[in-house]
Amino acid sequence: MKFLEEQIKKMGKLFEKGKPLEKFYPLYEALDTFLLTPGTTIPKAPFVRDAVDLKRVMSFVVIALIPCLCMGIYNVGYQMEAAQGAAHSFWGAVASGAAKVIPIILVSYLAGGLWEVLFAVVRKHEINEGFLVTGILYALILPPTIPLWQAAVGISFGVVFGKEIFGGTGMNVFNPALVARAFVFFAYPAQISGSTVWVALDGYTRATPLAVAAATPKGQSVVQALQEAGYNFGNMFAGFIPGSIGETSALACLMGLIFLLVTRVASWRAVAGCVLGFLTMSSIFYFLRGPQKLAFFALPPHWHLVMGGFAFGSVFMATDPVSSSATDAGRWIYGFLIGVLTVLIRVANPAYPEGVMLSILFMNAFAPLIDHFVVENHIKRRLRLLYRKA
Amino acid sequence: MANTNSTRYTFLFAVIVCVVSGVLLSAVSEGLRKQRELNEELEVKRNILKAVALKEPIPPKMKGEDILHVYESKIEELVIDAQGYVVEGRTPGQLTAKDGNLYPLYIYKEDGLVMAYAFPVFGQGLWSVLYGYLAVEADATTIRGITFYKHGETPGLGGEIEKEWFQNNFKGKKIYSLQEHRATPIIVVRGKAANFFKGEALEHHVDGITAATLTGNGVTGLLDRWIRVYDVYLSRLRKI
Amino acid sequence: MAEALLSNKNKKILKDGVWDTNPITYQVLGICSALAVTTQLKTALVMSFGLTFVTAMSNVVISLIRNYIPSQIRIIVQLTVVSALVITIDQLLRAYMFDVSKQLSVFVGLIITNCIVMGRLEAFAMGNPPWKSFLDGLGNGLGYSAVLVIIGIIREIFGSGTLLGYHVIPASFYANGYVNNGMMVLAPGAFFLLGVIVWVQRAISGYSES
Repeated sequence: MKFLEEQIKKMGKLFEKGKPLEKFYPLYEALDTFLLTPGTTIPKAPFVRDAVDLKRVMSFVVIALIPCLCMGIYNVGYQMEAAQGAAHSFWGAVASGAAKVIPIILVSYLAGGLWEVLFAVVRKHEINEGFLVTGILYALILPPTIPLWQAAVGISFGVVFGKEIFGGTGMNVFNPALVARAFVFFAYPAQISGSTVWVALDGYTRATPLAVAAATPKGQSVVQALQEAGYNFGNMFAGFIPGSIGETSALACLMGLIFLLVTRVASWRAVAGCVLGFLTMSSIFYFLRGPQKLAFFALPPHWHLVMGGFAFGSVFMATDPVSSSATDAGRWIYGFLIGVLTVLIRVANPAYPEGVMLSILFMNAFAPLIDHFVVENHIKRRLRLLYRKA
Repeated sequence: MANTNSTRYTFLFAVIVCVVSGVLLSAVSEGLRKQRELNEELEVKRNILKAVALKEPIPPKMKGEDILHVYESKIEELVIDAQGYVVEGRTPGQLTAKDGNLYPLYIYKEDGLVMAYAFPVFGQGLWSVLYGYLAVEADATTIRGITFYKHGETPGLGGEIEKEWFQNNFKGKKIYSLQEHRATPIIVVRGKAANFFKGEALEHHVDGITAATLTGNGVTGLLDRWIRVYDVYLSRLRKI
Repeated sequence: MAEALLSNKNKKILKDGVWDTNPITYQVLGICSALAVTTQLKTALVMSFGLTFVTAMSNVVISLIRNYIPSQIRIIVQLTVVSALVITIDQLLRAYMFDVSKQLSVFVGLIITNCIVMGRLEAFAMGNPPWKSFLDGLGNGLGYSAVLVIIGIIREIFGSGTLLGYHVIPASFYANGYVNNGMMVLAPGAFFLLGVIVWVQRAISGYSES
């Protein structure tokens, strides 16, 4: 360890002011601090409240994503085999899944990393490991069939418009991975929606559970329609269904969540708020539906929970320390509204089968406002107490 | 100079400004009226000609007067009522909002021989109202062509309805079932119709647009509505 | 002859409108139409021409009669002059460029309420002689046009793969999986481009809002 440290410091001399590699100091800095704990502290959010620093926080998130990643790779391959009607083999599925998923992750890191380095060099700020999280989050919320060049354009937009124009990590209003996905969603809708893009096999059509539910005609049972399409609570919970790479398995998201909560990287309040809001809204639809309403209204709330990208979004996106609310009460409100909006968009808007991406982005914009009122309210209450005592 | 703030002067100035700009604008409006009306007329007629799929399609750069000339020589305009009878002495151009039970009908004739019947169709898509024309062959059963010329659907998704490839999907489909002897709705399906339907059923189903199911449902709905309206007239023409 | 037609002072009036105090990027006026009519270069060009013409000509007319306008009704007089010019343009478009006028829809009419036009009349034409006012209107119109044309070119190329209706992205691109960018056809695409243009201009000029 000592040797490594000395080598890195020696290398660092080359990057100091006036030395030949001065311009590329951010690159050196990134390597140095990723491997070794830096001796400096930062003055702006996301703050560190523990013995771990920001880079450690980010690497914990990456670790928490491992179950989703593994499950995603396996499931992409599994869906391809199922679609071909081929005999199932575990390693075969992993291999064909990896062949689809790994290039997307690499492209995401390469294209996004390029912009990251470019801005770091021009603006002379550090390369932040936040990008390690953004890069993989983004890859996991894309369909396995996404053309690689579109993935690259998307992450470029996400890094530049989602983060760098606000001043880099810690200053961004929106979650960069979601900004990137939203861009692809609106720019290339045919490659990221519909029923042909979720299984990596040319010409193969299979609607996602949410699309099946949304298309169920009035008067028919939505649960029955889902079962006829081959979806039940069990396989949707486990994640053996078509969908974006990392989002299909509620189980894997749950494992990631437990890790994030144990290490206290994610706020349990934000996640609890999400789930509460989500269940509230889906229960309202479920219990208060009229006889003439859409079939989708009759989907039981616990089915809602394991469909689409809600589990992934609420665990990994709504808990993003930068773009979510920063106060405890604020996190409850922020999460609750994300849950409510997700169900609203899902069920009531016929054009968008899933609402979690748009609702998180929307609430990102309101997070500072929520914090503002929470703080104001707190100050008022304290003042009142103060006056009463006096 | 006079006192520009006196009431008298202000009034006088206002009157002069009004008269001058009023006269100028009337002159402009009146001078261009003919050309303007011609354009609006052309817009409608061009779309009808597109829907009926002329034997010799009009070239894209054709002059307005020539298009009108083609239209007048090939298209006969009629008005029918809700029972499917021709209303004499009325033309589509005169119909107003008050004529709720009268419907325009356009007949395409080539050398006196009926080639197609065309009528306007419109209805709600996903985000907007879709406007178009549907034309059926002389057998009053087979679709000859369809156009959508105005809509506000998402470009690249629902917006594809204005594209040739989608409109061509309708050609040759049937609005009447020979087996059941009744008008059948034309249904826009999710994906390729040939994957789901065979034989006669395929004649009533049209390939949809990927990821634009709801716009497709809108097209299905509006075609159903207007085919019903015109079927009372068309049914008398069928030689079955 | 007190001053040459294109003295340095007059050139500055022209240049200010195009660059230093560009109506869109600096004054942040006329954004609505900049978003709405720029999906294609053709509509952007026609709109640019219309606005430049109206701004320049109304500046001249108001400047000519500026000493005769009663101050109580000056705004309504300005509005009348602007409206008359805009309606004339609208009628001409309907008669001779029907397709374009259909795509521009209400936005030609809305030039009347475009803040750039009224802004220049109040701020410049009411206090300056006709030739200077003309240059000011022309400069501001050209500044607006420059932004619209840039956005129009980018949106049409990337959103539809064409430029002025001609295909510029080769068919082989599409055959290999290239897809037009749907975002460019939607209004947010114009917003992002506008943001980038402001960003670039301010990076060059070093201007910052304090």
